[in-house]
Order: sequence, then C-alpha cells, then structure tokens
Amino acid sequence: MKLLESLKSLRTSKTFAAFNAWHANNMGYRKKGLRLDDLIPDEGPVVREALRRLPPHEFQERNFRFKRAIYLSLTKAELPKEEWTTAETDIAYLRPYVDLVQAEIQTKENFDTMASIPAALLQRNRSS
Amino acid sequence: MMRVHALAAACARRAPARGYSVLADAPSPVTYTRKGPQPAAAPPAVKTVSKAASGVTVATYDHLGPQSSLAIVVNAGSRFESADAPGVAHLLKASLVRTPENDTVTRLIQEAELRGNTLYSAVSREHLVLASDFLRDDLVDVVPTLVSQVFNRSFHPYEFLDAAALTEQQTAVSLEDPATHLFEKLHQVAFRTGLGNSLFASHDALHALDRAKLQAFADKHFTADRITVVGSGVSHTELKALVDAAFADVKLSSAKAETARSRYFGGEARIDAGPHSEAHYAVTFPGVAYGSPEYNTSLVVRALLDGSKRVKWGSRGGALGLLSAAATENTTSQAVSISYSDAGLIGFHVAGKGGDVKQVVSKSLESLRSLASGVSAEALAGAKKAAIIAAEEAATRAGLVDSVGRGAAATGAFHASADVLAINNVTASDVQKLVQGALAAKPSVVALGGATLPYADEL
Repeated sequence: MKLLESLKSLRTSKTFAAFNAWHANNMGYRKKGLRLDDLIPDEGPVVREALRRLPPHEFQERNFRFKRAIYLSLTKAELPKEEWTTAETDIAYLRPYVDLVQAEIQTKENFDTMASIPAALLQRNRSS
Repeated sequence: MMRVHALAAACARRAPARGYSVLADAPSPVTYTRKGPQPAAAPPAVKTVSKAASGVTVATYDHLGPQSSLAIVVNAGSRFESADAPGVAHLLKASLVRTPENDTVTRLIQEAELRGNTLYSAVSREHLVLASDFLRDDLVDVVPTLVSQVFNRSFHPYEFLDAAALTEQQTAVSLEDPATHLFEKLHQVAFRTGLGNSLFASHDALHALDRAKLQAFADKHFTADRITVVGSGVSHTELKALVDAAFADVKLSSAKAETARSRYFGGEARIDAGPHSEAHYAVTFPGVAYGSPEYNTSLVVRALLDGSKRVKWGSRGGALGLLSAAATENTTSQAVSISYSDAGLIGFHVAGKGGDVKQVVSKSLESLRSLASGVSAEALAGAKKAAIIAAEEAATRAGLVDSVGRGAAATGAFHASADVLAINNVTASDVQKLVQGALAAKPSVVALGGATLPYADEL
C-alpha cells in the first residue's frame, strides 16, 4: 500500500515530469515532425472511427506529417531542429476521439450485458 | 354449421380479450369479465397552462392515461432564420441530439431504449421540437434528458458534418415529392421572407453554415419566452416541479428576440418538371392565424370545399365538397388551409393530368368564389360536422403535442380548437366574410409540371 502511494506521488512529481519530457524528446518521433498521437496504430475499428471523426483539416495535417516522416525515414534524415515537434505542439488531437469511441462501445456493451437494471434507472414517478 | 359459428364468435372475442386483459378478473382467451366497477366514460382531460420559475411556459393536456408524450417546443423554426444563414433550423433539428459533455450519446440512447422511450426531433416553419413518447411513470427521467439535450453546449465537428450530410439527404428526398416542392414555393411566393423561408436546407445553404452560426441561432432563439414544455398524459404539478429542477442549472436568456410580423405578398411562380410529370397547381389567398377568432371559420371553409373525406373510394379531395364538382377523372382538387401564429393561407391544390389542370383550376376558383356570395344552410351544417370530426381526429397522441404546442406557444393559452364544439358557432355570414376578405387579395399561384399549365392571368 505504501509502495502504491509512493508510486502515485512519484507520477505527479516534478522529477517524473522532467523524465517524461526527456523521454518524449528522445523517442525520436518529434525529430521527424510527428506527434505522439500519430503513433497510435490505426488498424482497428475504434481508431478508424476516431479518425473518421477528426476534423478534416486535422486529418490533412496528419497525412502531411506522415508523408514528411516517411520521406525523412527513407533518406535517414531528421528535420532541422527548429522544425521539431515541441512539447507545446505535441497535441493529443486523436486520443480524445479514441477515448470517446471506446466509451461509447463500452457503454453499449454494459447495457447489452446488463443482468439487472441499476438502481439509478429504477426511479419512477409513482405518485400520480 | 353451428360449430363454425361458435368458433368464429370465439375468435372474434379473442382479439379484445387480449387488449383488455388488464381489466379482466381471470385471463382467458375466450371470454373476460370486467374487474370491479368500471367508469362508464373516460374522465375529462385536464388542460393546464402556466409559467415555470425559469420563465418557460408549461402546457399539459392530461388525459389521465398511461401513455405520455413530452415535447420541448421552441419558437425557432425556419421563419426565424436570418438571410445569411438559411437552413439553420433544419440543420439544428438534425443535430439536436448530441454527445453531452463528459458523457456519451450512447448512454442516452441506450437508457431510452431500455425504458422503451422514443426520442425524436422535428422542425416546422415556426417551431423546433425535441420530444419523447414514454410511459407515464418515466416522466422523471424524460424531463432532464430533453432539457439537457436542448441546452447541450458541446458540439463536435464530426457531429456537425454528419448532421449536414443527413440534412442534405433529407432535403433531396423531401423535395422529390412534388407536393412538398409546390408548397415550399407557395410559401416563398406568398410571404417571401419569414414564413417564406425554405423549410429545407439546400446543398448551398449547408455549405454556408458552420457550428458558430448554429450556436448563434440557438443562443438568440432559445430564450425563456420562446420555449414551451408540452406534456400530454402528464400531471401538471409534477411536470412543473421537474421542469423547474431541470432548468435550475440552465442559463436561460430572458432577452426577447424581436421578429417581424408576417406580411402577405402574393404572386406567381412556375417549377418546370417536364411534360410527363404529374402536374400540381396551387392557388391560395391570405388565410387566418391560429389565435384569431376566425380560425374556426377557416376550418369550416376548408370542410365546405373538401367535404367529407370518409367516403370509401372517394377522391383525394373528399366527397360532396364544392371542389369535388371541379375534379375530373384524372385530376383532383383539394382544399388548402394552413395557419401559423400570425398568418395563414387558404385556397386549393390541384393535382393530376397537365391537360385537365386549367379546367379544374378555373372550376375550383369558381367554387371558392361561390362561397363569397353565400352558402346554403345544409352545406354549412354538413361542413361544421366534417370540421369537428377532422379536429377531433387531429387530437391523436402525436397531433396533440403539436396542436397544444402551437397554441400555447402562440397565445400562451390552450387554443380554442381544443374545444372543437366551438366550431358549431360559425355562421354563414362568417364564412362569407372570410372568403370575401381572402379573395380581395392577390393570389399566390404556383405551377409544377409541363408548359401546358395555365398562368395566373389566364384563370
């Protein structure tokens, strides 16, 4: 229990945030101009639906980043340092949609496999 | 032979036995005896209109039955669209049920499904409606659901794009119907702006819309004085308490959006639909508004023109009405009587073979003119009965919410048509006066079909 607490406090600590930033910068995707959300595998139905929900301009920018990154990868090159993705531009543009789609599927499954009606849904207007 | 008769009688009895099984002492497929003393007639409906604490109007028509409907009726139909955002009401209707903040739209739909409730939105020229049909006990969860949806501030881009695609399909499908297309044009000719705005968002109109325009339209029109919560089959006091609770955390603007009164213009328009299409032709004159004292007269005029529509194999325009004399084998003439909160249209709609239209339209016009010079006592008595039956018939579950909402939103009280027997007070001179007044104005004429259709000045 103590260990869990200390782990939790570690996750919110400054040291951990600094490590996170260092790690993100050293993963390599930022040097190719990508964002963290570009690394989400897009094969499954959940991510495909999330991608469908992306605003059209976000989707175009994503495609552009991919093209650029593939070209850089082919030529074994990196972007000039001023064009690297920074912590500010590494926006989670896809994750919220993935989470929303997952929540919708989870909700539907919960309702479909419901064995008994939850108390919150049992309130009724019995007075008249 | 006796056996067959007995069997047939038993089968005939079985059908009602199923429906009334709740009233039966013992469930039996063959007979039933009623449980305890039964009321001889249904109790009279309780009609109540009042203002909730938030300023919205709450109107209920409690028929004391187990089936209920609740609708949030907002005075935000297509007539309130501004010139730079046509089609916004139609698109708003399509996107009225959206993902709530910190929640999923799936939960909303699954919960409604679990209870067997329906959830639907509708748009008319004057009103935007979000409604639900449910069992009486479910009122507690329907009110917060509907209110939170109407005032949902979250609006994802994909929801807008999905709704726009759906709206475009709806527009295309709706305008495929020549009568719908005809009446769209008729409103445009008659009122130009306001009520003349198209009910349907066209491809180009949708292209010019964005979420900000929808939100601006909602902010401007979803104000306390424009919202009516209409319940049918719900207790007024309970609904009001629930509405107060649901509106407590909604920031409602009390600003009043001024709208221009409708003005009638009249004129002519033609829609080319090729020589092989079914021809449609509408001639209308300014009619009466809901709240106006002549509203019942307009119902009688309509009945006089159409006659009774309950004759089997009768024409589309009804039998025994004045217009039935004008109809030919291929072409029918039907009365048109449309009422809004401050304007209306009255006239007729001819549909059929292009070649016959001219003759049928002139004859229909003659029939309408004959009403201006007088109406026989028998015809008037028959028309009153037909009008009362038609008004009674409109009091269905769906029609009730519609009519209560329209009346309460327009006049802040139950509309007189709720008391259908008031139609009996219409006199021949009322009819004459109404028709004379209407005919004095410039007609709105719309022709849909080939080149053979007459122009307005040829009639």
